[in-house]
Amino acid sequence: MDEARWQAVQEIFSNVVDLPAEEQHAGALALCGDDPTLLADVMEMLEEDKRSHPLLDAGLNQAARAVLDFGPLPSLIKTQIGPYRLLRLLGEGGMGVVYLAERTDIGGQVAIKMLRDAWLSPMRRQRFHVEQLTLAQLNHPSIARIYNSGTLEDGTPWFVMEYADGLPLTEYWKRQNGTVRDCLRLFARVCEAVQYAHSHAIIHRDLKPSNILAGESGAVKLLDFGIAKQLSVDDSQADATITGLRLMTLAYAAPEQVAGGAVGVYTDVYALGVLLYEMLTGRLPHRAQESDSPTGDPVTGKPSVVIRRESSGLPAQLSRAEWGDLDILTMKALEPEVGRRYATVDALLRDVHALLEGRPLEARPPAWSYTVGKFVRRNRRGLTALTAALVVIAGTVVFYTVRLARARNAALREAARTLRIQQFTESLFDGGDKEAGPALELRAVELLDRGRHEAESLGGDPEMQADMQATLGDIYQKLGKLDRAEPLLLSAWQERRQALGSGNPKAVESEVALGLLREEQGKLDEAEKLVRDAVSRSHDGPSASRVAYARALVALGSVLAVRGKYDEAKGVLEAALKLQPSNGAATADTAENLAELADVYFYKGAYEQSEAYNRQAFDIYRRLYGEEHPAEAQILNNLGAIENNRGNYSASETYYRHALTITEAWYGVDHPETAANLTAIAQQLSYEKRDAEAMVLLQQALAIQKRLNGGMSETEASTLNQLGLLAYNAKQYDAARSYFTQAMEQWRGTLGDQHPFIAIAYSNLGSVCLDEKDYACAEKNYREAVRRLDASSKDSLNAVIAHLKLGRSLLRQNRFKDAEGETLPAYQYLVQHVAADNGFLRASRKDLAAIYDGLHRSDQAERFRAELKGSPI
Amino acid sequence: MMGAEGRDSFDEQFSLVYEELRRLAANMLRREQNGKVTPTTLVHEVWLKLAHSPEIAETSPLHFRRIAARAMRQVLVEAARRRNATRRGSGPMLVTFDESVPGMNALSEPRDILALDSALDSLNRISERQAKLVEGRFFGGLEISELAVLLNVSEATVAREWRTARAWLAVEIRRSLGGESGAGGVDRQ
Repeated sequence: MDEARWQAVQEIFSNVVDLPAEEQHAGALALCGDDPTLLADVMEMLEEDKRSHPLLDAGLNQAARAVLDFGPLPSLIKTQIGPYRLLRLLGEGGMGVVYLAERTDIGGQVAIKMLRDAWLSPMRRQRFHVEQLTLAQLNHPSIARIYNSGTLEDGTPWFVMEYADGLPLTEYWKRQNGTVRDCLRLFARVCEAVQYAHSHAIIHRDLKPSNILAGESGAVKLLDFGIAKQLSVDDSQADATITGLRLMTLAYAAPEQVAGGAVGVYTDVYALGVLLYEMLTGRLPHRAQESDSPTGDPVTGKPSVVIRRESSGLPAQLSRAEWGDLDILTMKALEPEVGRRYATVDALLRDVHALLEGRPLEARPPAWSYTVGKFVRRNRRGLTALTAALVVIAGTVVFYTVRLARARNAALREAARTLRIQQFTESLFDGGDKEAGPALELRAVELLDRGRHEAESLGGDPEMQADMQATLGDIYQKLGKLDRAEPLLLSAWQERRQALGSGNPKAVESEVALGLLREEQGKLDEAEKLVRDAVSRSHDGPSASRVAYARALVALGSVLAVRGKYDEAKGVLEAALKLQPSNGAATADTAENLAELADVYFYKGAYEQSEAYNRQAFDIYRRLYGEEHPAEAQILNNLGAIENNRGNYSASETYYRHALTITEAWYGVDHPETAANLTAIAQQLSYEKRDAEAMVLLQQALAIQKRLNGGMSETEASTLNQLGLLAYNAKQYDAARSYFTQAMEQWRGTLGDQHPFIAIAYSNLGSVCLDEKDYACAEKNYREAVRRLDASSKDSLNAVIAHLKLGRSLLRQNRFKDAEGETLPAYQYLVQHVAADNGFLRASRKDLAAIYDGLHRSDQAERFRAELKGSPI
Repeated sequence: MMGAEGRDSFDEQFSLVYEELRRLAANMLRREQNGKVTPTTLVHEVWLKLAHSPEIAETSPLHFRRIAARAMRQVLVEAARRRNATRRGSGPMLVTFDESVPGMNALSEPRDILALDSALDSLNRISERQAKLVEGRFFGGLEISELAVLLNVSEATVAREWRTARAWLAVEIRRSLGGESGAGGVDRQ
């Protein structure tokens, strides 16, 4: 039917529809003329008009009931998703459902979250993904961790989280019946977890008792970072509302949140204030009416008054002054006006500790209400923005660790892709200042300028400015924008040196940060100079700067290791390790230090020590982060490399595959870490002569690396090297030579000529010549490799193999005596250090037999032939 | 129908409205099994919840109702499609919708809604305005007076066009379902 015909149909229909039924046919017939189809169409419609229609007249309600069901999903219980079996529904909401599940392979309970109706819009899937990334960035004992993720066959995405068993915070506390001090200590643990999230640029925005579980011995667990809104089991309470795309609970929502205003770290401060008030007094600070906003609501009463009035409260164990401090602290967290509230959770936490330790509060009037209060009222906007920016600093210091820097940066780059950090950066400067401009359209640089301008308007406190620059520089570096990070970190360092002196821990921290930026930029000379300077400056500092000193040392060790100065790196890292807390108190710093040391031993060919250190680091990560964390993947890769170099290929492949599973789950397929893992497995496969499989993985890896790096890179060089090995195995010598040469060039360009990897490339080129029977060329390349390896890591497996190969090139030239000098020591080393079926060991025996034949020492020749026969293949 | 720059904001608003609709509907269905939930109350509730959100604040209430109607249509159509698919048992899927909905009206089936959806698409080809009208009225619970304002025509026109469109859609739906519900109607081959 076309528009014209539809017009005709409508007209006739409208003309006759109100006629008595028996006259309709005649009326329509008259109007339709000699068009029977038209008449039939109209008559059909007239019939339908008389009847009620089951769908069109029943209305939406019936329609909705026919297709929508919001109940639990019974069909999924007991189903298996990967290694998980779903046990029961934990919670559900508009967007997600959460199940309790058990791991069927290794046991243990987890929570699995699934996106409901993923097909509905890409936005839903994107938001789900962002939530996942948010969790992935957080590794804290008090925050529920994410373990794994995937997609069902029908496209439904899911991820696996730590399952926390416990009571909602306030309920737990009620049953404890503890003292005010116990209450504050428990509260401090919650604050620490929230502060940790803030330091990772994540604002919870939905802190409430049901999202904070407390378990045995008061261990707390924050749940549902950024996703809590979907998981509220009972949304029927009238205290739920939406701000932006977020559902939050009105009773714990800050006034600015309810008003739809800018949200910042201070929003979480408010929620924490409500929680503290509720824990102390057993009631909420204000009674939010249905669809009523608490904006401007006065708090019903000071905690001390409520506690004393209602005997159900806590037993009185505080002095009069302490009660006063408790009131000040609680009320300041609950300030409706952002500028008067604690600007950061850190500030709140400092006062909680001060109260517990009997020190005066920072928030204590009159200092606050008179001096600062006035100041703040005048400069509220600026200060809000700035203090929000400052909160990141305390936490970001933790980031200046070396080993994991790459993995973290990568995770954060991922996050940046979803704009989380950028939005946070923007929110830093948003501070309720709506009129100042549309924040979302501002570029980060403009925001920075604005931030700097506001900092200046505060009276030009250079320290504050430096803090802000350090923070922003850090964020830029994490975003991978090294060129933008550079001027900020540089300026922060200069300012801190001038204001605080170059030995001040903050100045040292800035110097280390800059050094690690240089390392990432590949400017190794400058990196080394900076971290060395930082080491010497923090060396004589006060005991408080011990952590800074240890970190500076680890940074130095890292830079030295990258430069191939393994002995020096070893000394530095061992010195740093002595400063780290060990055993039960070991921190991520300790683990990173150990792993860095393990790397150095590995490159020196000392596999026993390397393995031992890697295992220590692994145990610490496992204890701190739980299972399946990228830090562990890194260690698994290291262990795989060790087994690989020992010739234990099946053990090595197991490690690599495990690492790849973790990496892919965390970072996705198109990611440098994934590429690195693919290369490692490919190397493995090629040793096992599974070249076709290896080639596929390597080409995948190379494609990822080319896409991500563009120019020269160390990792791409390593992929090229392995492609060279495959071509070599396939006897495609021209291709192999080309790959090895490219690899050498990229290594030389990124690591410098003295690096041991250059030696590896020479050795590989030598092997190509050897197979082409150009023995002089082989000898030349092997000699170069031997010279370099003996200089950097004598008696390592790599060096020994180079000697073995040199020996073979000499043997082929019938220079038996020369060959013996290379091959025999290599054999003696291999016998002690590698598995009995190691290919190099067999090669050394074979060559020695030939060498002694050539030297006419048949007893020796026979000995090696016999060994060769008796050895496993 | 909407410009490129409008699509993002529509998607955002749509997603927002969808979730709120769904959440509210879930709560209401749980609490009131006797079926007091109406599209109008649902959309009204959604509006109350979302009116102050930055994404919606700029939108007029009437325009919001249009978005809500579209969201509602989408929700139901996709759900129906989904439900149909799971009935055919196509492998291990996340079965989102339970088969045994208490109080389900046997007269409305998922395929009825799918038929209505494709009939509405056909209607949109011959009269965009009437398709909008039906969408707003059926899925958005808009009153005739409101539709008159939204479509910028008289109330009499809205009433007349609704009646025509309703009859036409009924024919289309019956045809696409094979005529089984049309006892007494004109049979087609």
